[in-house]
Amino acid sequence: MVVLLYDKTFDGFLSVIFEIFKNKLKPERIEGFESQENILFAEKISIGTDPEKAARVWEALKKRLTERAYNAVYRIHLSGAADAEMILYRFMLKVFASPVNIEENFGDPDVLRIKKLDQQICKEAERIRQFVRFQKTADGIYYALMDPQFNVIPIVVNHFEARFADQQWIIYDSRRNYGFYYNCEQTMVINLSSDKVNPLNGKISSDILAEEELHFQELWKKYFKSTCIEERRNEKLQMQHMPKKYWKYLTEKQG
Amino acid sequence: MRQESLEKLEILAGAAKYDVSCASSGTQRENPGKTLGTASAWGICHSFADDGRCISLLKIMLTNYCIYDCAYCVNRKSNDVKRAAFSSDEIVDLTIEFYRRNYIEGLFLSSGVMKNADYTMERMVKVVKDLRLVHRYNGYIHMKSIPGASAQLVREAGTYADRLSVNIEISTEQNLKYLAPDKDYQGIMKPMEYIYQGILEYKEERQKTYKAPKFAPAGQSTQLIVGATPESDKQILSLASSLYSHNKLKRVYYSGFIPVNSYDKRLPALSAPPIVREHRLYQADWLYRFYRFKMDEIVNDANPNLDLEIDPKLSYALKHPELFPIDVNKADYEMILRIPGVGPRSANLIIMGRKHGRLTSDKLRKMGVVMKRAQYFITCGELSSSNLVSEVQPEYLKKLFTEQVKAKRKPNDALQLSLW
Ligand code: SF4
Repeated sequence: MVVLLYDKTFDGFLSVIFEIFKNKLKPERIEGFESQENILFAEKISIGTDPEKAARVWEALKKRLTERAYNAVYRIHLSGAADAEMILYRFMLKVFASPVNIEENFGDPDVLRIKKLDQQICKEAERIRQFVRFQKTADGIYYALMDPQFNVIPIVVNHFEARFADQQWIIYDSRRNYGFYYNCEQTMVINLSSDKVNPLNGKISSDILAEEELHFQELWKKYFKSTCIEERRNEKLQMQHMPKKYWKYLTEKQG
Repeated sequence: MRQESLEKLEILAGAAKYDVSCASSGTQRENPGKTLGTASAWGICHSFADDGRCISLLKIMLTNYCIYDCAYCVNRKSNDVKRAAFSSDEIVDLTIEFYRRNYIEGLFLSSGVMKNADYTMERMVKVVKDLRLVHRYNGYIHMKSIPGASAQLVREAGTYADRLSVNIEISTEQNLKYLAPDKDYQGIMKPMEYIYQGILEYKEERQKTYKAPKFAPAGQSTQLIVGATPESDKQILSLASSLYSHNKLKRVYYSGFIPVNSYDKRLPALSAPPIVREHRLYQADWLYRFYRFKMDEIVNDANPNLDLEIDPKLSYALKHPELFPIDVNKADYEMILRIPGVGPRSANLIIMGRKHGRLTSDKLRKMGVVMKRAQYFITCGELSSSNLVSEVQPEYLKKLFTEQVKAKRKPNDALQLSLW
């Protein structure tokens, strides 16, 4: 059995695909260099990242797929979904084997799998746009902690850049321990290790909060309660739209 | 001061909550530079209240003082409730601070009537004007237009707001007069007309120059209360369809009557709001807007009210067994949409997917078709035809479906049914 190893970047992955086609490889797994799995009798092949090869694969994909579908390839790779590489690999085999665009052939399980997975990822990206709750710090930075199942914050960065163009903000991924910091000019990837943020509820310790911050949190909680129509109470419906796993960092759901 | 603003918010959010509209979609507003806010075309729900309703906008009243005495409204003047009023600065401030924290998509501003319609409108317009011009705020704004407001103020509101709405509330003129004696039908219809004209002109100008000043780019909407007066679903839905086709409304909202003023004998005594009926009306509205149904296919003189037990699409299918079964490998999009258990999304997948090969029931299931429902209405090659609607009696199927639903449903659970 063949296991292909690469550096986990998107260009790296496209380079892997290039080598697969060029050398007619039949991998049973595609994993990062640091993969811990030690598989007996596996033939491990390391593949280096080559931007030129990656670009050729990307251009070929663009010719065969619509924008939505080739972006889905990017999103799925980025998402860190379990087995993402093999799912994409199987899909691309079919894409390149067919003379016509197959992205809508939903009778094919590999094509449908791509569509479904991408839908899940886009849904979670939307949940970030919905459920980010910024807390304003004393130095004027709006900070939010999130804990998404997929790695989707990069997909929504431009939404937040456009919307909050005149304020500094940080959106931080607690699960992957990295985040994005926008300083009104540009957005940077950051790693923070701070004991000022409680990872259990996302709260910033009050000594570094802006003066009015807690007051606005109170107002928001008050609004949240007051806008509910008691005669129509329906917690099941609430949970269906706003799954419980997102509650831990939601200001309005904290005591 | 802080305590006071909390209290005001409680009163004025509580007073505004009966307006069911929460949509924040329909405009795309890009941030023109380094300022605050964008409006996204599809609208974002930022939270969900304990009643399961989406919270997208800060839905708030400028004041709940009102000189009118509408029977169905908590804020009517004869009610002894806590009253409060915001200054325009207070609302501007709340909107911006909530927006910056990503709590909301924007503002939904309404108000009770102070002194007269125009006096009130002027104050509301000031809020939205300040947001746009002083604070360069680009987020979403929905503003209610007060019945009886002058054309000029409605015009001004439209230049700042994304959406304007005038609530009709009661579907027939006669019953409106009865329950809201201070309002007159013309006072409601006129502002709707002004808005419609403003939008038409804006669209024309837009053809000439891309830079034409915006006017209510997300269109107008209204709300109809259901169950406070004896109108049939047919009366309600015909009004809705004429609002969609003649006044080009973007949305009609249906609000199950909540008996807030039970002492008023003009109103029916309800133990709970008619949530199931409201839900059926929304489904019918969807069939009309997205499933290419005509209103008289859904409700007509023979059946003026929607079936509460099953959804209107299933109900239509059971009344028309002669149209089924539908061959999913051949039928056109319109017919496929009429199959119970198939929504627009799976209908699209079917049309696209069948180009690549015959669809089987297994593939249909994977495309999101609810086979439990659809199986009685389709053929796709390998499905046995022994229990098709044309062979089984429609009454039998209706019984089967209602029992399935009842088995699943606990009391008070109607809203948990997703649209289909
Ligand atoms: S005018 Fe509006 S706020 Fe005043 S009583 Fe009538 S419905 Fe209520």
